[in-house]
Formats: sequence, structure tokens, C-alpha cells
Amino acid sequence: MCAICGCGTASGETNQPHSHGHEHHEHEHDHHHPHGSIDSGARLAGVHLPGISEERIVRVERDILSKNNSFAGANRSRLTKAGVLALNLVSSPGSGKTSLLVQTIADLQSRFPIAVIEGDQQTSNDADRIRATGAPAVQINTGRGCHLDAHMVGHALDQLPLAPAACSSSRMSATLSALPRSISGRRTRWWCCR
Amino acid sequence: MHEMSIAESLVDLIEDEARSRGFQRVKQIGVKIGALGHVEPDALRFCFDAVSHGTIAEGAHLHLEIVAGKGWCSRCAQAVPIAERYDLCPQCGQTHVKLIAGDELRLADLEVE
Repeated sequence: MCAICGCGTASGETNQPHSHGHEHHEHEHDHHHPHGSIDSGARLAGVHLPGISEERIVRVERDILSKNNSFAGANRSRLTKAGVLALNLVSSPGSGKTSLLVQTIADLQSRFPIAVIEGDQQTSNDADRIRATGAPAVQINTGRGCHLDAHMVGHALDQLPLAPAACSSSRMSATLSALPRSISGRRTRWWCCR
Repeated sequence: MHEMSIAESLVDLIEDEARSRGFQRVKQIGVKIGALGHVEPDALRFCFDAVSHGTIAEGAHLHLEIVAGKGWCSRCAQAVPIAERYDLCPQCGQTHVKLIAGDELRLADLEVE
């Protein structure tokens, strides 16, 4: 069906060749209805315009990070169900994220089980520092980029013991964030308390 | 350089649209980027050219529309322009300005064949 003239609507979709007598089709472009199918499905807007016989403008309006957001949502729900509080530490390289974690784990691990996901371009040095405290740590190496996305975090969670909170930590069983809305190019540490 | 992964997501989205809507070639791509969204337009162009190579989006022209920052001031009860996140309301100086535009990263439309 042509959305402008509506040809093809009367008496069912015309599957027969037909000519157009009405005015706006008296232009030069080839007017091929793919008869046997509904034209508006083949041409998105269902519109034939002079000079725009093949190109189509497609309205999409989709969030470019929508796929990442769905992974992030799955991470959040997984953490919430497991009764895990997840904190995301993001700051410049060398500013002390791992040092802060090492000291915090030393102070708190007798009260809460704590696990860490480390994100770095290369090496497992930071995860090794965390493991030296006795806490489990997973290292994500992002390689050539410094990008760390929700999908990677999901795989890292697979490797961590996410059991429901057993004691006093249950009061803290809320998930703050599974990934910041705008992905940062900075380095990231994930810190999970069970 | 998070623009690389954003460019990859953009190409994924276009290929997804091509599958569901049945087009073979993309000529122009319209993307809306919030001015406060931490995406560098030049870096995104550079990455898109690299990432789109060999895909349905190869050679397509990338139009980047920058969406200015806008906040809602609850005291003035109106939308006000803002240049940075957490800006004060430029009219009343109140802190409570809620970001309502300028954070988007959206594939708006495509010209396809």
C-alpha cells in the first residue's frame, strides 16, 4: 500500500498490475509496487516521494548504550537477589583506589565478606594486592582500550562467590550501581560486600 | 577512549535495525549527543570510521547533533540552560536544577537503501 495515495487498500491488497491516474504519481521515477506483498512493509515509511524512490529515512531513536544497560540491569538484579552491596570506585590512575580497598578490607573483612573486581588495561598486579589481604579478587584486563562494560562485569561476577548475606551485612543488602550510566574511561574497581 | 566501544555499539544497533527492517546500505546516520555526556565528537567519528569498516555502515556519513544541556529549576518552575552538570540555576542561583537534556547518546535516524 502506498501511504500517500492509499492505492492497494481497496478490495484487499491489489496483486494485479495497475496504473495510477492521480496526480502525484505522474512523475518520472519508476513506481514499482512489489505486488504480492504489502508495500509499506518493504518501504519503511510507506511513502513514495518524487526523487526519493529508493532511499528511506528510518526513524530509530534508540539509546546507543541500550545493550549495555540491559546487561547492567541484569547485574543489578543478580546482586540484589544475592544480597550484595556493590560499590563502584572510579578515579584517575594512581590516585589510590586499590590502596583504599586494601586498607578497608583489612579493617572490615572480619565483619563482612568482601570481594573485589579490578579493571585495568594490563597486568594483575592490583588483583594480586587484594588477594594478599585474603579477599577474593577478579582481574578484568581491558587490553588496548580502557573500556570496562557491564558484560565484562557480569562475567567477573561468575567467578565470585555471591552467596546471600549471612549476618550483619544483610542490613546493607542494597545494590548501588552495576555500572555508571556514562561509561568512564578511567580505571575502575568493583567492591562487593556480601 | 570509550568512544571506541560506543562506536561498536552504534554499528551493532545499525546492523540490528538492518536485520529487522531489511535494508542493505546505510548512507547517513543521525546521532544525538548530549553536550554534557562525556562523548568527544571527533573521537567518535574517528572510531566509527575504524569500526564500521566491512559492515553495512561502512562509508556512511555520520551526522552528530549536539544537544545542549538543560535543567529544570524547581524554584523557577521552568527549564533553564546549563553549561555543566551540577550547575546552579542561572536565574535564581538555587542548586536544585535537575538535568533534563544534554546527557543523551542516541541513534536518531538513518538514511538507507
